[in-house]
Amino acid sequence: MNQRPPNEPSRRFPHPHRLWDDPSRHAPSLGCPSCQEFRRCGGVHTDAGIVDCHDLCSCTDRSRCDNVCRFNPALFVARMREIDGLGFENAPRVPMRTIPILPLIAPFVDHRYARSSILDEPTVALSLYEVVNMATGQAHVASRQALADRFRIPVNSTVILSGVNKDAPIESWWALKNRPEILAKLCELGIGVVTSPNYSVLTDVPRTDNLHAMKRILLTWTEMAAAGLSAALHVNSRTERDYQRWGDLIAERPEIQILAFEFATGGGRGERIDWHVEQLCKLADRVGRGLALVIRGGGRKLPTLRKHFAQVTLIETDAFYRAHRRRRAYLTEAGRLKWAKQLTPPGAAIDELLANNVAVVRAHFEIGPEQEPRLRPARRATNGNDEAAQSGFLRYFDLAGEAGGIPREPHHMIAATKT
Amino acid sequence: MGVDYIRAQTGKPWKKRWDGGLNRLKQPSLLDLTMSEAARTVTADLEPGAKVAIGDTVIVQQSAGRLTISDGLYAIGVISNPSAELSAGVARGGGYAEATLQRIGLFGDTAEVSIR
Repeated sequence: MNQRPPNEPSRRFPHPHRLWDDPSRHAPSLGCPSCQEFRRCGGVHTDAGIVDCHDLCSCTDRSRCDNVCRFNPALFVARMREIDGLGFENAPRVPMRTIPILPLIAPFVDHRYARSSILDEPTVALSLYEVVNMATGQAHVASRQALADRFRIPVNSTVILSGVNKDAPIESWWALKNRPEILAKLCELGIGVVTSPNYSVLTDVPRTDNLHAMKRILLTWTEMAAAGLSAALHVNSRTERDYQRWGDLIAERPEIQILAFEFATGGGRGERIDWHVEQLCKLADRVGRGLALVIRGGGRKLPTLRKHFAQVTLIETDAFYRAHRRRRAYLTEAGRLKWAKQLTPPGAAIDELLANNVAVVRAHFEIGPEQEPRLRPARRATNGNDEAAQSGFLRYFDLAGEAGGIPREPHHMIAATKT
Repeated sequence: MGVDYIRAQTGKPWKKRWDGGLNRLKQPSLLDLTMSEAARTVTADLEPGAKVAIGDTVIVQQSAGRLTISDGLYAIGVISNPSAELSAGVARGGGYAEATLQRIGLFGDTAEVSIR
């Protein structure tokens, strides 16, 4: 097997779900309470058998690693100076703004290709990184009319700019020198709401990297709000403590009125989506004032979220992308959303197909009850721990391997089989 | 074999960027600008059993009115009475500074650290 690059963690965790943090199911890691960042971090609680998050820092060439990690002191201190420490308290305050009323579903429009007419929608979502040229740091458009023409949307529509993207573009946003000028231009374009970039809060890196990402999200949100935009704060989190910190900040700062969350990648995976939804709902209840929420992905959790947030808006991407893949949305008699193949002649516009998809998807979410995913057939008889009879054995074999052989300093220990 | 395998073997396909495209490691720090070399060298009390060596790079961190020295995640010592300008310099750097152990006391309970 190939060697991993020396700047990447050499230890591999083939089952990412074991790194999911959940204090209600897993004990706190032994090394966390004496860590210098424990008060802010809260420690890790995983099923991966790690002593502390140092176990997630195992690169062999630290000079090339870009994780924000205390075991790389020069880089760590430089990163702390970059964001003025990991604490939220020193982020600038911004004035309160009135927030627009947003609909439940905002169709996402990525570009105008294969369309000839305007998508007649009162609210549309665009990508921040398609409105701003990330190479030059200039807006692609000079006026509201040009924006409407670029994406074939109505001139008077409410525009939500989504800061969600892959890591490379959102890192490019952080590297732009002229963010204040760009944000002033977005204000001039009459952008309704903009969501802050969602810097990744990964599970297989030291916690300081997560705390650095969270501070960057807050700083970029502050810049957007200070420029006069209605900005939504991405509350990316890995642990319960992260949600508590966001909650404390939001409760203390009434200018934070809109939150954003992205369920399309790690946060929406498997049963982790339920944990994130629960934490978001708790956060909203704890803050105690009407918050708005803008989400990407996780549409099936809309009914739950709507019980706790004053307004929830789903940036819906399927209608657009499936139309480009020539798929037509329809609802079954049971109210399920299905997609049928619909080929079009070469060069034909897909305006009607897109409009249909948007309408059907909206109807699905507006009238449809919460639909839980179909359950898999029950496994064979379970053991006393409520685990499957056979697959559990294999799981225990690779636990020690993942954790690097639990004892960190195996002095005075003799490995022996039990006779 | 698929995308997961390629990702696992080649590493993450992006690199963390610096605010405004500025590499702060190449810039002089606030301490460099405002304090003399002598003022930046202080004595620290080491924790019992701290394993340190001359030349080790450590993190100096503000904590409850004093400065702690840590190697990785854990504290290995403390600077009990830092000067006001040293504390202010560390605070201006986000509460953290990098330091090097210059000398270690005979009994291993004190060390002279040079803060950058």
